[in-house]
Amino acid sequence: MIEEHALNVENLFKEYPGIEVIKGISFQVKKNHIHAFLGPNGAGKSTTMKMISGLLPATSGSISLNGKEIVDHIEYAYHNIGFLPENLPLYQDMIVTEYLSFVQKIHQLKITKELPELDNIINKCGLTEVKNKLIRKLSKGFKQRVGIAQTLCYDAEMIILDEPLVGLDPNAIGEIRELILELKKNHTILLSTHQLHEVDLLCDQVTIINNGKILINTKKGEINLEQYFKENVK
Amino acid sequence: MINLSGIYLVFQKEFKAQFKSSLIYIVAALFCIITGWLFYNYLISAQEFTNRTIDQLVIAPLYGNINFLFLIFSPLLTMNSFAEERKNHTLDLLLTSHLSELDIIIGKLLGVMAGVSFLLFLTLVFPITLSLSGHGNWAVVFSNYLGVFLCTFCYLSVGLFASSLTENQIVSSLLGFSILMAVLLMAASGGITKNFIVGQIFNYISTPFHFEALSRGSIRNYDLIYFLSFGGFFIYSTYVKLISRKW
Repeated sequence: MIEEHALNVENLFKEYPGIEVIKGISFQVKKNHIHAFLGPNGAGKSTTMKMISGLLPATSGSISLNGKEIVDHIEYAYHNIGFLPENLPLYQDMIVTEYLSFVQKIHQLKITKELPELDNIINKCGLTEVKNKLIRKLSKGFKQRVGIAQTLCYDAEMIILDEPLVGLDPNAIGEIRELILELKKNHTILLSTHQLHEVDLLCDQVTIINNGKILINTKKGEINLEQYFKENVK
Repeated sequence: MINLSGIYLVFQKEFKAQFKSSLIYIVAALFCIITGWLFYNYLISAQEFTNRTIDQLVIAPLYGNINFLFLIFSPLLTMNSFAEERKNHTLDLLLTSHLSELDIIIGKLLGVMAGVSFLLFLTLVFPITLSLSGHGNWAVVFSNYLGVFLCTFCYLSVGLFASSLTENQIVSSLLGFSILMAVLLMAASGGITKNFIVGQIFNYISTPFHFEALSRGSIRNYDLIYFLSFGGFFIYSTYVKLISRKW
């Protein structure tokens, strides 16, 4: 069976005045796969993720989602890519349901298709017990869940998670891991993390980036990640 | 480009956030104390003048001072608008939704203007008190309210622009206040320059020059054009700042 690519990044460059941050990277993410996007701090992971989600323009190169160039179909990208940045985009003074409802409404303005029921998303993300609480009063783990729930509110096909496990205790990491695996059934996931053992537990494919260049694109298990990092990532 | 439903969603969020925050109530309390004290003093001092009207002795100076208070409070009311969205990384959430930049700016502006309307509503007690004691020139009262409202629209537009430039709320409010003070001082510069044309230009740029006519009950079309173009300029500047991320 031929596996379809959901995301195709081709020869992508990003320059700021005097500095080239991304230097011609290319990789593909297969549909309904969890694709790890790894690299040391400052390697260009977050910049790449922001470009994929349409937040930052690329200097050159192409990013396409299901064959559609996101530059030319930015509304399509906004609707079909759910992005959870490392710093959670949460309104601390809203209660969980109010926040999710707001996110759903601002994504529903220009689409006619029916979006998922908020209660289903709340159940799926394990937020039932805190759904009427102020976001500022939630633990880091629950805030992370609210962040993930936010990406599901508008039924995005592709979910980009930038460091979703950072700062969580082992129990919370286990719960978020289960949630991400559950999401894989209906979504394609691009995941950035520094926790290499989580990559083994979660991901199907791995791309490693360093200094704005792709070091390797591989399937999980084909290399020993820790050893590869020690030998190749400075 | 502009979606009314989108503007309404942002307005609703801002309105709720504003009235959930303690800031608006602190500002309202300060505002009531200061304006109440001013009103009382203008009334007392009006007794000493018999050749001038209540409009000249109480209404015009009172609303002139209310206008000045809004110049001070506006940067405080808008400092959160974009600065906090940036700080909490929620601006990206808005910008990757189906809201346009203008929906976000106008929604936020209407949200803070609702807060200002609440403060202005509290001042209705002054003309009502005067009308109970015989003052009946509601046209002047109306034009003063219009003047304060239009000036505040300009101040809030400046505040929004300042807030879009930084994620630090203090810097945002100081920046907004500095721009507004510069515009205010244009009037003083217009008065001292010896060059008539330069003086007229400085006067035209400053908001007090346009408010002054409204405070007398005179509604001139070029004053309205000034307020709309002043506010429009800063709304457009905020828009340019927001879309500059795409450059």
